[in-house]
Amino acid sequence: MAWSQKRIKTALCIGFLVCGGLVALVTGSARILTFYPALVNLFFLVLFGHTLFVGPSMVYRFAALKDKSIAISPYRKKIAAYCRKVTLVWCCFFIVNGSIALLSVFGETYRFWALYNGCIAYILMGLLFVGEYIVRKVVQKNMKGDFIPLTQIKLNSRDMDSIVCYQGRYTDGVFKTWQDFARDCTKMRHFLMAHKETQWILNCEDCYYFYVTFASLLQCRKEILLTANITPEFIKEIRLPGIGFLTDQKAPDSTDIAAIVEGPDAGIEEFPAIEASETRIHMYTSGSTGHPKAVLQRMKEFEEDNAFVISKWGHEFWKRKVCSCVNQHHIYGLLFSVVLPFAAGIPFRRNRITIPAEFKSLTDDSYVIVAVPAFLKRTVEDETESFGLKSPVIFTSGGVLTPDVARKTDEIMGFWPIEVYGSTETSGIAYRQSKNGLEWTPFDNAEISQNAEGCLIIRSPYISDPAGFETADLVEIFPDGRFLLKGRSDSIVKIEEKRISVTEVENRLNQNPYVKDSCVIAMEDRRQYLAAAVVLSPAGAEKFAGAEKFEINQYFRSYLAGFFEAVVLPRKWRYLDAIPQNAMGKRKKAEIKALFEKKIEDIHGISFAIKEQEEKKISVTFSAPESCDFYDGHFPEQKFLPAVAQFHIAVKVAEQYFKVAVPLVETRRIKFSHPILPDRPMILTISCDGSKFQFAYSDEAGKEYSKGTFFSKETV
Amino acid sequence: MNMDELKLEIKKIIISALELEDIKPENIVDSEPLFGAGLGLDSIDALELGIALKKRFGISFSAESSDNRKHFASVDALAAYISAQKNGETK
Repeated sequence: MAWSQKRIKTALCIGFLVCGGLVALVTGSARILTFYPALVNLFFLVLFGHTLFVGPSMVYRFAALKDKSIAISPYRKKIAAYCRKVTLVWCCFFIVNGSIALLSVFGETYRFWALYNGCIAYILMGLLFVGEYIVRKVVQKNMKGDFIPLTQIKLNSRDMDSIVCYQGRYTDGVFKTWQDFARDCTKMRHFLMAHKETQWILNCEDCYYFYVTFASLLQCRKEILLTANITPEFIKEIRLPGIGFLTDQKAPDSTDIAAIVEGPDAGIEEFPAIEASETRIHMYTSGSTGHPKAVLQRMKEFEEDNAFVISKWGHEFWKRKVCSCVNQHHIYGLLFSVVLPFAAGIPFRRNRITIPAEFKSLTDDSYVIVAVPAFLKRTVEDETESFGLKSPVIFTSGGVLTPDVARKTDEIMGFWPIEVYGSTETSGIAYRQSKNGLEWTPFDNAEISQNAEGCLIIRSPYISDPAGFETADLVEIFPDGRFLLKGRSDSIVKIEEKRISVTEVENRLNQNPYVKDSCVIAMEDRRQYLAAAVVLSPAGAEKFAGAEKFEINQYFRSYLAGFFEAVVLPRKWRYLDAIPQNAMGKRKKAEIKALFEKKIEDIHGISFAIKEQEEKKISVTFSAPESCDFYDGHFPEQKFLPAVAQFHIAVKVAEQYFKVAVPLVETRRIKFSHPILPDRPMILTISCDGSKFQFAYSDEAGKEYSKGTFFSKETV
Repeated sequence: MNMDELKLEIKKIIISALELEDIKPENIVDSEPLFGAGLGLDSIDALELGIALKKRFGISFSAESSDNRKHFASVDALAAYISAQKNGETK
């Protein structure tokens, strides 16, 4: 309604001007006509000027009309302020320009009038346009939020309608605002203050609920126990008397966060102050002691770390929204997907991204994607086409991202990920982008050195202990301070970014009455996983007598599921009479490992050893002894491996390794270069592409003896 | 393909794609949860299973994570989802 009234006003003004022009034309009075430019300036001055008082400013109206995203931009207040200034500048221009136009009317001749109004005025206007455009680009580039850490927030730190987080895609427009946050924190604090517990276990899938609860706990000076693992057995172990349990996961004996946040309104109260150095946040990890271990952290270090990340990448964050596929109960997920965006005033996504397809829908806006290598790998490995994301920035941490996956991520998602190196004890300490080399650059103020074993030691403001933290990562440090990682030195292994101590899994197994001894090792073929060799106790042997192996596996898996996340549960099981060990009692890891490695069964008395294996390629070494029946009946005077046998061996190896069936009658091609003689060590390499298999026999020196192809029924 | 054949096919894919050891299709109960309790698959398995099913049946999963959690709940749920997607295509 207001708009249409304005339109009428505008139409009247234009009508008035046009009429003036017509009168001038009809009366032929040039005098009236010469006032025309001044009148036009006056008209625009009124048009622009009145919006300075009634708002939004004229320039903002134009801008919002052209770019719809301005209305939900986190910086709309700043954009509006800028547009108001530009409107003011234009008003000044109309005043000056109009005044000169008016004065030029009273000149001696019309020459100056014509020169100014016909030429100079237009040039000035053009200059102003261009000048403003350049200034705007600079302002846009530097458009940033304010960094206000959680411990320093006040109700008036941000505008009530500023956006804290969003659901789904940013432009879907489903938001939680600063006002919602303040209101929900008030409810949560009322709840907490009515309860005497001073420590609370916190686990929450929804990032908004999570941060409302997290902030409220700190504001009420409670201690937080953060855990991603809420299996009943684990909770029982860490939940000592007097500890509460807040979650949105409907766990037994817990308090439902959603019920409080969506509960009756309690008004909006000021955020109580938080002393950053007095906060106590216990983060559960898998420690090397073999028991659940909590690392005590404080907001002070978190916020120092955030401040560094913002100083380094703030300009990238402030141009984007944050979305994450990392669990916020782990330090990297917590810092990057919630604590940092909140402090920087950048909207973050309420729900974690749990399947790769979700990325494809995020083409509406520009995002900072907080990811882990395992997720990125599975997101991009089978894709051939770009997702068409709008200039994303991708962070990853928690494990090594191979340069191959990084490159593929660049192709498909449009950014070569920035890797952050850190741990629960240290938070982020170094970064790299592997296209620029594999060396890590430490964060500012991080001082690094090596201990006697060659492990990395870090001292930094992000670590509360002034002595620093000694990692279990072997490193090589260069004179310029950058470093290379060389692997881990202890029993802690990483299974798809989950840190787990194999000792801890062994301890749990050994606690089970049906287990006498066990050995757990990390394996990696198609994926990383744990494998367990178990020696059953007499009670165990009795219990599982006659049971299928699958049932025994399931029993132990569900037993361990009470203590560990699914990803670290052993996937392969061997039941032994004893764990292989040497005379000193040290376990023979290689021998145990061999129990789980893929094996190629003997074929006609020939045994095979796997030389190299990849997902779509295998090479095995073997030698066919003279006694082997493949030679019977063929060329008795000169024994060599006949074509039919070469096919048979290649097909049988392929069937075993790739788990496919190769029909007997099938298109098969082979080309011989040299005969394969008995007892000669050979290498057979088979690679598969869909249903097509190519094989080649060669020797250690790389000389090729024959090669061929065959097809399987199904595709791999 | 009828429902039982589809379920058997899904189980075979679960076993082969995830390289599960010692498990035969008949060991997997149609209605039992695949993740958490039951078979106890993990989040990496979910990703890989999604890719394998996409390859085999040419179906896509929605961008809404809560829907997907529902579809991946059990063999029954997966079979229902896949056959619904397939039928949707032929219509």
